Amino acid sequence: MSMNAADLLPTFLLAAEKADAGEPTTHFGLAFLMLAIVLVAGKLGNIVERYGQPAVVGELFAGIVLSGLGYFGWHLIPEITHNQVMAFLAALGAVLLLFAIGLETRIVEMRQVGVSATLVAVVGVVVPFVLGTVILAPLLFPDSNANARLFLGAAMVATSVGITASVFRALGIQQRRAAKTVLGAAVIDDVLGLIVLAVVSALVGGGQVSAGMIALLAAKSFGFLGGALIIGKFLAEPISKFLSSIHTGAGMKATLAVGFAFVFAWLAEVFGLEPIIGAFAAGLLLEEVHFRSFQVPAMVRELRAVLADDPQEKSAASRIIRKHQEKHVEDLINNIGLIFIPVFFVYTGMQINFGSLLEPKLYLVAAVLSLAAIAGKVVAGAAAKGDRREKLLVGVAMVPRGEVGLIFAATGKSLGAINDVMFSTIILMVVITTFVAPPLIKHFSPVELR
Amino acid sequence: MDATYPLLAVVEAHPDWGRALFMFVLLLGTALLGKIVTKIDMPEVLGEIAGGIALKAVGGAIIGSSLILAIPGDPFMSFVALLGALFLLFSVGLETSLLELKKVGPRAAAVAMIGVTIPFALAFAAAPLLFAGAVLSAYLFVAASLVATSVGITSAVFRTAGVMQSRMANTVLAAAVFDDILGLMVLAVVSAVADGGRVSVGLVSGLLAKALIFLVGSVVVGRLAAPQLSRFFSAIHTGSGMKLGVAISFMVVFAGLADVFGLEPIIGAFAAGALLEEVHFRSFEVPPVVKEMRAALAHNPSEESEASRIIDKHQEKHVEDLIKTFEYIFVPIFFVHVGTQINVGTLIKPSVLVSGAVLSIVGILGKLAAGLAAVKGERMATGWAMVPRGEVGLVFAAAGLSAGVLTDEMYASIILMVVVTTTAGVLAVRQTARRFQAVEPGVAAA
Repeated sequence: MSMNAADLLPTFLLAAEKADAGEPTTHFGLAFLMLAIVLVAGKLGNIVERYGQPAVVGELFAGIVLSGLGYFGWHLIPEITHNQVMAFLAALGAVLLLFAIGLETRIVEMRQVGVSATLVAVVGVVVPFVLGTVILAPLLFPDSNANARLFLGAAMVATSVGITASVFRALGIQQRRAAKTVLGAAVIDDVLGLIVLAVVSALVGGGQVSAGMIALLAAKSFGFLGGALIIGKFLAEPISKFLSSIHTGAGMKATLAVGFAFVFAWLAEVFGLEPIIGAFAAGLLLEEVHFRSFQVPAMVRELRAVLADDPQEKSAASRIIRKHQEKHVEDLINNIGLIFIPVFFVYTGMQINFGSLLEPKLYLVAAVLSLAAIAGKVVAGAAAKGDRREKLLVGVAMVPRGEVGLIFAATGKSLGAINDVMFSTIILMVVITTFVAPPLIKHFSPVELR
Repeated sequence: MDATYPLLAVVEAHPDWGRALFMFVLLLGTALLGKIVTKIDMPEVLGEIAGGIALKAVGGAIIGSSLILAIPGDPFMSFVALLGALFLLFSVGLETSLLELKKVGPRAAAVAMIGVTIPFALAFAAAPLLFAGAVLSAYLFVAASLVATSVGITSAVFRTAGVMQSRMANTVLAAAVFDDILGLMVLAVVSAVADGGRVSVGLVSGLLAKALIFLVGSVVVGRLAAPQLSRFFSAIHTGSGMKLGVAISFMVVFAGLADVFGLEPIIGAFAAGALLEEVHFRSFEVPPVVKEMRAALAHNPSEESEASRIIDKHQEKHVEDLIKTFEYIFVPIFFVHVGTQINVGTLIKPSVLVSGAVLSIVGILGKLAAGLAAVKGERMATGWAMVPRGEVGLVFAAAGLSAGVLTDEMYASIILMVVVTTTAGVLAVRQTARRFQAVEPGVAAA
């Protein structure tokens, strides 16, 4: 039955596309159906969450399965990977993802993380990067060039804050010292990792790799992030105040936030950096306080206040309910992200050349790479405070590469820096590190909680 | 090379996403500034469309920015704008019920029928007087451009006024669906004549059959499948991400199928919204935060843990709430994008002003006549609600221009007619909607 549907649909759709060939800009019927396929596949992939795995793993798998269906003759799949509108939607997803990560990252918290978290982060960036670029890349991919080697190393740098944080939350240890160290380190990791990405991808565009180039690009990337933060400090508030004088609704607020993200994405590109770097910077510089001129009292805070104050007062409660429609910026962005970010993950999974997955050697290479990726972060854990178990806990908690690792892989591929085999290997490494992390964190968490 | 690096091929074809993002931001920013019209008590929609016209005029003629001039033709911006129209019509569909639509069906069909015939006939009669010496097919195209109704614009005004659940709104929405089918057939016939080909009965009835098959089929199949699909997906995950994913998948599938069956994608999105009901999502663990909070407050007011549990669950929201965020961003883009398709420079020529004015009057009178088929007391309101031509009128005009049938002057006159009918329609609809609200306060509360 399902095979029948799978056979019928493509010819039907291709016929539709032929009919549309005359006016490609006004007929998006096929693009909508493609979007539906990607979306539904991603949502089916969410089943992994029932087995304690993060959604991103399932969405990636869904993409890989779709790529497999394409490999075995479903013609629509390569159409999707070639479709510009789908590529645009995935790019929007990547921008929104980095914006959301930036929003969750508080500069203030970064200042508070302390020496041990900083050490963990720096070791966790340097060791995997050196392992990947200097040792593993020449060993595993002898015929790769300098750009590809840099990307392989860069992809091993990332840490997914979201995945680690959600495991900690599930275990109820997010307030422990180890958890705080990890989350602080992961934030620094994000910033360092994205600077590495900015430098590496700019190098790929520039051609020649030299120490001077690297220094120049690193300075540019730091300069961009720093400049964005300073400008944001001074401009975000007046702009937001001006716009809130036009309209104070949640629509204005959401538009303003997305506008910031896209303007900085564009600015990053003007400076020769990846758009996602700009989106991340926009997320970093925007804080809830910049939106205070909008009439948006947090539902949560009010609810608490009312409950503490005068619990019986019904009219106060209904006032909250009316205001409930005005949401926080993060909520608003997360809502939009619920659709576009999975599209990015599935689309990334679909970029895998399924043929390369059929080579047994690939799995060996990916396993070696994953082991190195795990070892690199565990070493970083040694820089943390506490006994051996706590050091190990910090180390394994830094292991999942998650969505940030995917950003690296997708960027490298879109720049043409890495080939199909290396791309597939990195994706597998991301899947493996993300997959093994939750049980490992559980294993090394304090005894009384296991 | 292309085969091994699909994404690379895409990047080469469209070297920088930054460019698309910047266009996006320009549209967003214009929409933000356009909202200022609410200060002088004008509908947001008009501010956004006017903003689009201004953006094109200022950016194109004065600054000479090729980026701004490229916006109306950019495929990504067209897609994003269409997505906005889909979100709007989908959530309008969510707010209407199929049963109510069915109730007003025959009347709505009559409204649509008159609203297509009268403007067409009047304009066809007036066209030779306005544009002497043109070919028959040009007159047909001018007349055809008057049959459209922009349901997107009308429903945006209805929603702001809070009369979405009224019988009048349902009549207008159902009439707009019929209107799209009739307009589709008119456009097909007119294009066939312009092409020099014969108009075959088979072609027209084939189109009609396709459209009806889509509408009936989608409602029947969708109605049967929605609860099953929703239960299936909620078995995988019950979070709001899944719920939203299911809803939006429904929307894009129906929009895509509508396009395949020759209808406007927004009609598909509306159908998807109309057949989905909140009850289809009950297998998702998403009790409305409002109800819970009330229950908790009445139950055990002092319990802090109870409150924090609510706050945790606060992230699970209603489908309509979830869609709203998308509307905030994408719907204004749609209206601004409509505005950018209008070139104000061509409109201010004396001859265009005259013929545009005549077409506008014909366009308004024709749709007001259609309102006569509505229930007594709602006739004027229904008629005015059908008046805005909006983006559909622009599509007709563009089709005529690209077929090489319309002269520049005819095209400009049609555009002027679109601008006038949209402005007048929006203002009139809001006026009547407010009166409606005053008469039937229960409607607004519902």
